[in-house]
Amino acid sequence: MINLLLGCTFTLVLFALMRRVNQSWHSPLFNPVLLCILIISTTLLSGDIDYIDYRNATKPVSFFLEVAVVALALPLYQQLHTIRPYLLLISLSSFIGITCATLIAFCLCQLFSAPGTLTASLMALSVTTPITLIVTDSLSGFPGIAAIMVILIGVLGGVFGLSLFTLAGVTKPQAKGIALGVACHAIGTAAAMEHHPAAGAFASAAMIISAVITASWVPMLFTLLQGIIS
Amino acid sequence: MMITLRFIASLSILIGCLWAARLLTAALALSLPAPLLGMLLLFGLLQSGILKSKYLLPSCGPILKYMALFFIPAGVGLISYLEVFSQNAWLLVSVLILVPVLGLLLTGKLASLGRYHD
Repeated sequence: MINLLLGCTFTLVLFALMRRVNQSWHSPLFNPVLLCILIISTTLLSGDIDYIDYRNATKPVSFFLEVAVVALALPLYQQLHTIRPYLLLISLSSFIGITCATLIAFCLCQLFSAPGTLTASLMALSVTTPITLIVTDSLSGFPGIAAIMVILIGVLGGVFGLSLFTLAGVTKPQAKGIALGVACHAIGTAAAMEHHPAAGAFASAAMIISAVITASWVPMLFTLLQGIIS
Repeated sequence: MMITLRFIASLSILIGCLWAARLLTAALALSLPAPLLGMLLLFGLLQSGILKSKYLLPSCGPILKYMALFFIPAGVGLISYLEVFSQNAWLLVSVLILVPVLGLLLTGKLASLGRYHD
């Protein structure tokens, strides 16, 4: 009970502090989650505390991850009238984007002859973290690796995404939003919202649609790919 | 007081959807993750007009705003895999660069095909 109180309070207070830091140095590199993970990890390592103890002490925090996925229904409902004419385009872009991300990660894993569990951890990286964790768990990968990779991908997309679009000649804010939502989940969506309101609306819709597609399609694709190489 | 009650009521709707989805996925042996089915259930309730979005706002607002907080414990799990990280550093770095860059470019180009009116 004391552990629970300590674990949750520590995580909460640190998160609030890091949000402050992020607000004063406005850069996606100072991502509050990334900072919190680094600080807590070093604290646990230097204090010789087992990760399992920390995980058990923060069970309530992790439970809300699932609740948050359910809560995504609200923004999807609110944006439906804006995105309805483009629903097919968003779904198609999202399907192809996710398939491409999984294929690239799978090919790289083969190239580097990575162990199977590691490959399984890198299959669902462009989607929002709760879904990544659920999918990684179902493929029996390492959730810790998947989580940190997803966050880093989001941060990189948030920092360099918009310049990449300028280089590649992607100019429509709606298209930028869809790409950021599909490839860089919530962190990309936040960057899209700052860039342009239409980009933000399309990004959050694309992120949610990608979540549904990833959860149902990536496990099948992974089995398919494993069948091909074995 | 009223705010707290509204928050609890709207949180109960979310948790109710999650539990209903858990029961359903278990009973029908679905491969769809329960939280996602819960999201679709809630979306159905909103879309059909059974639930009004104002009932959900008190909890969905803060939960979505601070969603990032909830995956800190999972992220800290990286300390159990430090060896895997150092042994596969090059693979992980290439994944980290190629997956978002190619994903953003491909999706961005595809989505540019749409005709949008502002």
